[in-house]
Amino acid sequence: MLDHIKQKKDVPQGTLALMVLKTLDVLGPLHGYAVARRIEQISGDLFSVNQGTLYPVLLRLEQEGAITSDWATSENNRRARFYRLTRVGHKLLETEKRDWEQTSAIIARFFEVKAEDLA
Amino acid sequence: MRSVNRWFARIRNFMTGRRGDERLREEMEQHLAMQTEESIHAGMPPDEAKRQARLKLGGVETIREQFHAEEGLPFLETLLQDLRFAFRVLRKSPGFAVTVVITLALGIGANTAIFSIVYGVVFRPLPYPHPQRIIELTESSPRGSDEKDVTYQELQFLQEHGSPFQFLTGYTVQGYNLSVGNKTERVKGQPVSTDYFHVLGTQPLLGRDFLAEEDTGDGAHVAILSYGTWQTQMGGDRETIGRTITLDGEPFTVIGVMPPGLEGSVDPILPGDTDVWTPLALVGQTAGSGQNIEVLGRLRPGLALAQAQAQMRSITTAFRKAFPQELDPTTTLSIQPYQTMLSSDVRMILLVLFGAVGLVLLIACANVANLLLGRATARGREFAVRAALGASRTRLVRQVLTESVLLSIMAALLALLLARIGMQSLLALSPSDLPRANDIHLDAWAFAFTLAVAVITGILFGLVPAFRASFGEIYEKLGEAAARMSSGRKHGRFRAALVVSEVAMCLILLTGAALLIETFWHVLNTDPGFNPSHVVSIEVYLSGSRYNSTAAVSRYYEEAVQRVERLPGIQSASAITAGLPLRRGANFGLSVAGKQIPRTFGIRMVMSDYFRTMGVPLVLGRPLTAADDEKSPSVSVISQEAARLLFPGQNPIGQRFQFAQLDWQVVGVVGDVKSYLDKPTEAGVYIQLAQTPYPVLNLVSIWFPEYIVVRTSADPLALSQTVEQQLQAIDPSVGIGHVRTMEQVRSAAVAMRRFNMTLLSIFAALALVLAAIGIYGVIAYSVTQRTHEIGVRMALGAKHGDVLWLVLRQGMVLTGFGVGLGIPGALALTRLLESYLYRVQPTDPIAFSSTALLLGAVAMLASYIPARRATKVDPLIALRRE
Repeated sequence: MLDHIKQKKDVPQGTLALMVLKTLDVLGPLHGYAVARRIEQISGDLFSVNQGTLYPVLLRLEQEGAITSDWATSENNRRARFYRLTRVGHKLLETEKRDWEQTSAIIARFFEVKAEDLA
Repeated sequence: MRSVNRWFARIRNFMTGRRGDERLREEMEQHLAMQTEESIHAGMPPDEAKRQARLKLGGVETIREQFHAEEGLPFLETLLQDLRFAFRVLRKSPGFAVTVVITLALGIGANTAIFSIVYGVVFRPLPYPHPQRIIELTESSPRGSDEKDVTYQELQFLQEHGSPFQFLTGYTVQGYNLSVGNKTERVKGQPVSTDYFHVLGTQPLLGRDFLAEEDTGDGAHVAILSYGTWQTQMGGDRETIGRTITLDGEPFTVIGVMPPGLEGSVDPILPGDTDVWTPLALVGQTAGSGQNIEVLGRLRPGLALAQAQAQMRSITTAFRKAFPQELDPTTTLSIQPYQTMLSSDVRMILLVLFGAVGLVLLIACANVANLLLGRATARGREFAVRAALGASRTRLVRQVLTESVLLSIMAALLALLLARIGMQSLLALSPSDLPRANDIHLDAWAFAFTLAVAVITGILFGLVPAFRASFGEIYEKLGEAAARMSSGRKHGRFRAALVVSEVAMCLILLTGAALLIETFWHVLNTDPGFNPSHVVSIEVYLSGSRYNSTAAVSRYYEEAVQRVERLPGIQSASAITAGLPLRRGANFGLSVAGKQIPRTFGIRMVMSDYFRTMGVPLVLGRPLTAADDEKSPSVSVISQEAARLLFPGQNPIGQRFQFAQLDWQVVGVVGDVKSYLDKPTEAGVYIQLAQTPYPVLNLVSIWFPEYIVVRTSADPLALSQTVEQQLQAIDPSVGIGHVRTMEQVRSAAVAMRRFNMTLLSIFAALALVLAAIGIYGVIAYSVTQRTHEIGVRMALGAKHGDVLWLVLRQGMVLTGFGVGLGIPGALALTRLLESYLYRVQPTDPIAFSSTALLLGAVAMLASYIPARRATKVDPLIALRRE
């Protein structure tokens, strides 16, 4: 059981932050649990452990001014803290997205290269 | 922008102490609740759902830590926490804290004080723009490098050929009698060529600088006053510019006033400030001043010193061609930074002292490290418990280092206070010819230095115990009794090594101090050649048109001597010019039978009765008398050394030599009188003041005061006031300077040596005390550790003497090792002192053996106290303890 958990990788903080931003961008204001659920659904098993690490990331984004948060009532009448993207956050998402796409495109090209192409 | 926001938020949270703990707890609670609810909904049993939700969320503590680290400034927070803890810990053992703080404060304070002196004298940039570009002309030869004096013509040649220089200027020093109204005062003058202030990069505060045309021909009668002179002599009046003052009886127009703080430009030959600047052309053609011009320059911008020095080679060649007599073949002209030249005489000894005081601090550090190690052992359990509770090794090291740096910073605060007090006494003790003494302050640099030293020492002495604390095996310490023997021994060896190095460093300092003390003793016991007790000297400055002949000058002194001798309590009085004994004097060349003697002679002009007044013994012939006047043949009394040099193997009486175009007959020989106690005896020649050609008298009066010397039967200083009144009564326009007893003159002659010796001795004494404490600490600790063993030995029949020897031997072994290591170190380092020693070799066996013996005795004493305690061990109690 323990071995099984250990095999699952933690999501790196930077990637997690980008996922949070995108999730809030697509779905609008959400509380922490909903963000975690959403990321888990989309990324498959990748985010099914250590979901609590989301909260320091949320705090960091908030301190950076990319998101804001406030207490509100959830759909099933619980008091929950809702996070919302700010204008700074929108811009941040845009640049991060562009950077990510560029990086992944370059890396992808490197993986396509075969030995004979370099000859 | 984002990271700015983030740091701003973190700092704000840190400052306001805001903690989001509650918010995080609630969010995580809700998170768990929602997850559980959902799983139950999906058909999971409630208990299992709760368990799964916790697993998915992960370690709550870790998350909280991450959250908290993101929220504030964890580094600072830990630091504050460590500091609070350190304060608490130290308050619990005030004895320890006070010992450490005082030990370190002494070490750091001494360093701060010496740093301030070294920085002020050697390193503080001169208060001019781009001071590193101000250079001084020097000559270097295989014998070394020294400042180069040139003649007026040579200066002009250099100014025409000085391509590396933006400005090149010359200056000389000259005393003036400054009269404003009917008041006359002796002031320090500096005749300078036009670009002098351009070289320094300063401008007059009021009025203007010298013009080029004022420094040509015979020179214009214009003067620039120092700020101080302007304030005291002219009352700070802005209308001073254009007014006329009198210098040596001649009218000068004041054209400018320099800003305050130009005192640093003064040559160390003349301690104190320059009071008045005049054009160099005034003295350019005169003998003396016109031949002893020092050259300052400002390098062209962008020209490196090394490049300029390289260019000096071709200048040397041209100079040699133009003035073939001036440079011998092995000597070349060079340049050195002015700042370096200013402190060149004292730089080495100050750096030696700085090094010495650094050793004292190292010894203090070793002692404190020893104390901390002892504590680390005592606190072993505490650290073990904290490590067992999860504190990481870095965390423990940090805590211990915080404690030691806190101690050293508290010590630094006390050290600044000590340095302040210490500096005042040091400056009071410092010789008046210490250059740039005005530039010595306890300033921001000293604060920065102190703080840096404190932090570095804190880390230095804290590091070892810190690592010991963290590397010690947890289990070993928790089960302390079992581990005591092995870990104790490891500790013991390290502490022994610390003490051995303390002893070695202490030996080095003691040896250095011993060498300087021996030197000082030799210098003090050097016979100056006269009897200084009950003799007072009074500086007198005759100048102006009233004293423009030998007859006028000698008339003044005759009357002065007659009036003074009539006073009660006076045994005899006389006068001397061109240099008092034990002070710098004038040197001249002379010839015998038309042949120039290749040596210089200290020629002094004296009134009759000089030898009796000064207590210089007459060896042969007769002294100079009042009968030797301007009408009688020129006669001279020479010293034994001069007799040996001038007339080797002959009876000097009746022999003749030539000086100042006159033929002098030797009528007597007196004992040698020293101008410098620690230099080879000079050849002295005495002539009657009344028989001296006026140009010679005038020449020496530029640099040297004339002195009335008086031998009294009572306290000489008590009579000096009435003597001064008599002098004033003869002619109030004559300037009267310092009044010093000859004992004071002798004391001033050894002031620099006394200063160096006292400082090094203080440091050595401090080192000795610290080393003794170190030895005591280690031995006492080992006695406590070995109580059981000693108990067993005594139970088996060991006598008191055996136990005493057991412990003493340990101290002796440590000291022996320290001395063994220290002697080669001292041999290597005392060589630095070589040029400061007199009649003592740097390897002097007396110094080495006496310091080793002293250290041994002190070490014996320091280990005797714990050794005695060891003999008081009650075997029954000691054995029961296990």
